[in-house]
Amino acid sequence: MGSRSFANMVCGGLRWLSMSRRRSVRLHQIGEYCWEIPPSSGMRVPGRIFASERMIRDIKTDKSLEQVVNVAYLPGIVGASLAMPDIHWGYGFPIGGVAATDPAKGGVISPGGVGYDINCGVRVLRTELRKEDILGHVPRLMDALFEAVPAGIGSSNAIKSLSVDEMYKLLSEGAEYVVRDCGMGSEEDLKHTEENGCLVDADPSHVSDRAIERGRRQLGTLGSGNHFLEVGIADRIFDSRSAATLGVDKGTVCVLIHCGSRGLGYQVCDDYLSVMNRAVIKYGIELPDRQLCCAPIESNEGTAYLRAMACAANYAWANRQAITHLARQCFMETFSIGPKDLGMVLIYDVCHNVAKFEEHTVDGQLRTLCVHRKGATRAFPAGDLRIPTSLRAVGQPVLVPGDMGRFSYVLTGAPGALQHTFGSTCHGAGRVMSRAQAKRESRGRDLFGEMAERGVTVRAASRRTVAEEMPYAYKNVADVVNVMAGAGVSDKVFRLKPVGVIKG
Amino acid sequence: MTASGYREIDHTADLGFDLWADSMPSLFAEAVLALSEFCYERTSVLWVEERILEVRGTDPEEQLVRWLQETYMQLESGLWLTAAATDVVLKGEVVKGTLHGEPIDPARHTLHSEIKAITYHGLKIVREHGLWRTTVVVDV
Repeated sequence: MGSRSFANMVCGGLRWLSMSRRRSVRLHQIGEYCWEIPPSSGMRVPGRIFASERMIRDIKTDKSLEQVVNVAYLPGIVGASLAMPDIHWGYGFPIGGVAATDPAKGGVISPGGVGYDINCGVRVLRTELRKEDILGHVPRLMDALFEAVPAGIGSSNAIKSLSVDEMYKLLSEGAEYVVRDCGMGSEEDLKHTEENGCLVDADPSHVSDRAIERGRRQLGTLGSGNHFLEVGIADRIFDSRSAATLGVDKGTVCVLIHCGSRGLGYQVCDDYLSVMNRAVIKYGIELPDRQLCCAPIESNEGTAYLRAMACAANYAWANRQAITHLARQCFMETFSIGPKDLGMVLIYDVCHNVAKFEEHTVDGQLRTLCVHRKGATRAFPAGDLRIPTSLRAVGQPVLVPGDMGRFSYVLTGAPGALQHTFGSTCHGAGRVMSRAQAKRESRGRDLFGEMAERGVTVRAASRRTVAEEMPYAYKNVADVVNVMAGAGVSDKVFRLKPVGVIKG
Repeated sequence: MTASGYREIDHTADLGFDLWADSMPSLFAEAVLALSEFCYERTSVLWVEERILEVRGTDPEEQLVRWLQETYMQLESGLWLTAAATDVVLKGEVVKGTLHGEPIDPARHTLHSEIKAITYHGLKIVREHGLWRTTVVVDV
């Protein structure tokens, strides 16, 4: 069997297309920042990757391009199997992958195209504090935040455990529940959250008891891995008009929160992978990777997953809202100021692991598509009616965390996003080094000291997590956002330099 | 190469480990060692208590995923650390075995990383040169 051919294999009653060894993937450059994999074998559409020439050389070193090819097998996929420049090897979908499927043409929903951490996402808040207000106080501030926001393995009990009835409300209402019933935030927070912090299709009756149980104690917690809470300072403004609209100028202290739906979301994904494993047999769907298992959107299995996924997405928004409340309290206590002087306002909250129904124009026709974004961020341009009126003049903010030692970026969606990427852009720096390799690199090094030399105070539940997340393990996020700007997909507004980070 | 073992592999975003053993039960026991080693300092966990674990799966891959999921849930939900698994038996759709370990003691146990899930990505249990082998990718 050749290296690019497949063999049909029957595995325990399931039918998967499996490869004998690593495939080579043909790649053509079709634009300065765009590369295409022409359709072959079972691919229904081409693969299309946004990257610079230098980045594409790195991308070729792992299996992420094979995953772009695999996604192109999904029934009902429209346009192309897309990848953003922070693409790296994931499971099923590549991280940085985008796929739109058409429910009217047998399009499928794949939990692997959302990921286990449903609605993993980022929010950024600005404050009235200036750089000079916090320098000298950062270690004390980070201690307070580390104490208030549980992080690390099994982190729980940031706030009281919720009852099952309370969980049902939260899963139905999302961030609004913690604002209204728990007093954690304001209506303004909700307006500046993607979908106002609630997917309305949520139906908790499709969420397992175990998932609900896992969620009861974890509201307001970060978890571990690449999740973090970061305090940063706007050190460079690229678009002063847009930055002013977002309430930021050079020296503004901001807070970034990156986390998701915790154990509840992981359990929803696990539960429905089992359902989808059976659905692929029932509907005769052939796929090259079991992790891509899926069901038609309009099937019972697809509908049930989407309703459960919406619950997990709502949990994630509630979680980031609860953490926001805890962070506001820490800031006010640390600096002995009230909410007005702190002025910690949510700029925006975006999810980067989700599937949502959106209207997009394809070949001149407006179609309702299910857009899977796995490690990709929605990026609607200025004027789009789907973003809040207060932001419509500048476009939807896009929050792109870098590594914990360099920079993070705030962007806005640009018109090219709707033309090229179903309104999507990058979500982060993207790893360039495996976790195992990063740990090897860290041996014998004073990681916390190295970060302090960069001017970043790190508080972490685990030294190993810090080792895996060191800056050298990531691409330079500047390269990633520059590709998307060059492709006309999103525009740079301002840059944040981290001064304090909490890791799990 | 020893008759059974595990080795962490380079996976860009997540955790991956190769497993090998001369029998399927041993492969499942090795998987518990590999997962535990990633999540915490496994060698500090004493064999104080036993827990019987039983899972079902329609094929060996699904059985392995569920076996590891349930092992991890001992930690997340039960705050209980697993040192090793013994007496693993695979019969039809059922996998049964005994976990040995103890409740978390923050004074003695160093925790490393949370996992989100055991994935099916590329998961295939094969027999090669007299050994059972597989590679498991874990979402972290």
